[in-house]
Amino acid sequence: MNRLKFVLFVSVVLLVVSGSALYAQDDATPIKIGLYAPMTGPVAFLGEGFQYGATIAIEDLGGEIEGHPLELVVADNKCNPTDAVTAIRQLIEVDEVDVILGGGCSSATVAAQDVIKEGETPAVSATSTNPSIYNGMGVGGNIWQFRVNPDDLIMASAFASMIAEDTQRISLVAENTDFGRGAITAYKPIFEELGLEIVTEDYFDLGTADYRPALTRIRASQPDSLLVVMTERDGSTFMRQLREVGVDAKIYSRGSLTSPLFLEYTEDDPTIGEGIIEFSFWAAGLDPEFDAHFLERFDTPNSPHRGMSYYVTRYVIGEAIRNAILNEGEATRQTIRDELEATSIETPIGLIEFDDHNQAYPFGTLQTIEDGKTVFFDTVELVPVDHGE
Amino acid sequence: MPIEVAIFIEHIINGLTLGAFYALVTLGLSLIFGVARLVNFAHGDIFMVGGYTLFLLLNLSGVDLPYPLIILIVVVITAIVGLLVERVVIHPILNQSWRVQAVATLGISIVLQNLALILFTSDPKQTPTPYSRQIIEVMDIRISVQRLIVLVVVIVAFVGLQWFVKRTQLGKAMRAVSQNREMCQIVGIDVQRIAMLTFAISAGLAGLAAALMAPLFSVTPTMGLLITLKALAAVILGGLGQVNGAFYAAFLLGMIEALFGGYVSYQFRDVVSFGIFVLILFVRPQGLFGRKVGL
Repeated sequence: MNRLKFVLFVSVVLLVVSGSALYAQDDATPIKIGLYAPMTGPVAFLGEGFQYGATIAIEDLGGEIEGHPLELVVADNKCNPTDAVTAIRQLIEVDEVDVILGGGCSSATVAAQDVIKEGETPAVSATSTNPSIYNGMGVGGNIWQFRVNPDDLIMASAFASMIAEDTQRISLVAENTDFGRGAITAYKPIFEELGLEIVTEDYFDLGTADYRPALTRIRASQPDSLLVVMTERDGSTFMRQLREVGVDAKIYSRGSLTSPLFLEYTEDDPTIGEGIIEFSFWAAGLDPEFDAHFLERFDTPNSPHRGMSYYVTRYVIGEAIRNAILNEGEATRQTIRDELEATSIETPIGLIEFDDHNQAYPFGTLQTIEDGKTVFFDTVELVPVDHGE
Repeated sequence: MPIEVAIFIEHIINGLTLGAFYALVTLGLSLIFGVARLVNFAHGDIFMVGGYTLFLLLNLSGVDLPYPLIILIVVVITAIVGLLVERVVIHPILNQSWRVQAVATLGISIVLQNLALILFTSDPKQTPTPYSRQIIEVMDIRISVQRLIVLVVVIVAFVGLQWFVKRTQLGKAMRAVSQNREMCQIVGIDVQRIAMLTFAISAGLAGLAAALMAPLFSVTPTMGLLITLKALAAVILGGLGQVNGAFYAAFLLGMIEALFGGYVSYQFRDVVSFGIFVLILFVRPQGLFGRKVGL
């Protein structure tokens, strides 16, 4: 009898131990966050910025959520559609990530949509502003794609009328990407509707070195204002040459021409960006504590793609993972997606909630450069707009 | 002066400076092809190495070197890099097929770009000089002193190169190797040494281009990609191995781009310049300055 009791006792102990071991193993299952962004190529600085943002977000989350270590898996999309598809397939099929952040630029995000839908993996965009992404998301058919940042059609509805207040003749300048072209496609009809005369329209390939021929033509066209749709890298070279050619017009921008990173790229001549007025969804000064934290961690200033990558990873993806574990017992692709859909969280960039197209509406931000410094001066409430068919 | 005339003159100046930029890079590429019969796809990356060398020299803490000395150091360092590349990679494959050579130079390109990415990150680096911010304004035409320096130095470099290949023993040997390598070997010219020195000169020219042009743009790991394509087009347009032809073709390319980009559309300037390039090759397959070879 004693022997039977002993065997039973040992069996129970073994069961409990193995059970708790299994439970412990389950607890420690890492959650993989995939990042697809341009890590090489002409806009590699964007991917690097995304990686910085996601890394510091994971660090600030303590490296884990509810006992599950977080793992960042990076795939290079080179900001081109072909490599974007390869990168996203790599993350979904080979690395088997649980949730995806990216793609860092509109060209990659647009191209990845079908693969994300087919791979049934939740993906969250932090900076891709091409309006065409909107119609496909959520009730548009792709329930797996979410976008935190507003697109250029949403922003144009607020910014275009501000530009029109002191502009009759406008030159449109954009990088030759889905980001640049998407923005111009959004702004152009609104400008025309507001009665502005579009005197020039130019698109530049990424990494263009010499803008002078177009700038000479722009100067000859005598616009009141320019709308420049570029990120810091090309934008700093463009603005440098614009000052050289002597274009005398007000500069409005979409992209990141007033960020501290832009100031770093033009630090030899802080007057280059003086007076640029930019509309965005992130601004230096919106969250000064984090700006300082970022600078201390990486010894380089914060910027739109760096900051947005942080907020999306820490607040949106992080909370969705936490809620999936707490509410549904485990963080799978499906449960994370469901929790993303239910997101409602106050963040330094505004309240993040997704509409039926999985589109969020954080603040619009207005900033400028004054005396060689970024000055954030207003937030604008953004509202849903008609995206057509 | 009527505004239209001023604008036209400014477009011409834009074309000349753009052409000068292409010409400096093209000279080196054409020289290598002429002597070693090799298309160096890494030539633009040597240009990039020159850009980062300039960046480091301009940011040496506590040292304020004069710009002409900086240019000289950049040229010497890139020439040494060219020499190393030739010794380590090119020399062993100089007599291999063009496919092997193409893969090898593309390999160098990838290695150099990724090295730059690791060492300097992808952030663009600015390399302003005292001249890049000095603007001269004459009759409504504004141009930086740096661009004028580029124009002058390119002409001096071209004349100097002409003198070098026509008057010096090494230059004559280079011309001889470009015309008949086998015969040179028979008469005792060290073809390998000539190829090695040609690589160094070619890399030095790319370094010169970087030291002059980077202050107007920015330095990034991929800055050499597009310029390699343009320089290759100029080399073919000028006539393969024709250094003078490539030089003039580079200016032609720059002028077409500036005038079309300035008057019609910037985004289609490459389409037009390469379209004209194809058209010229259709009429003159040997290039503008190449000689027809009959079989």
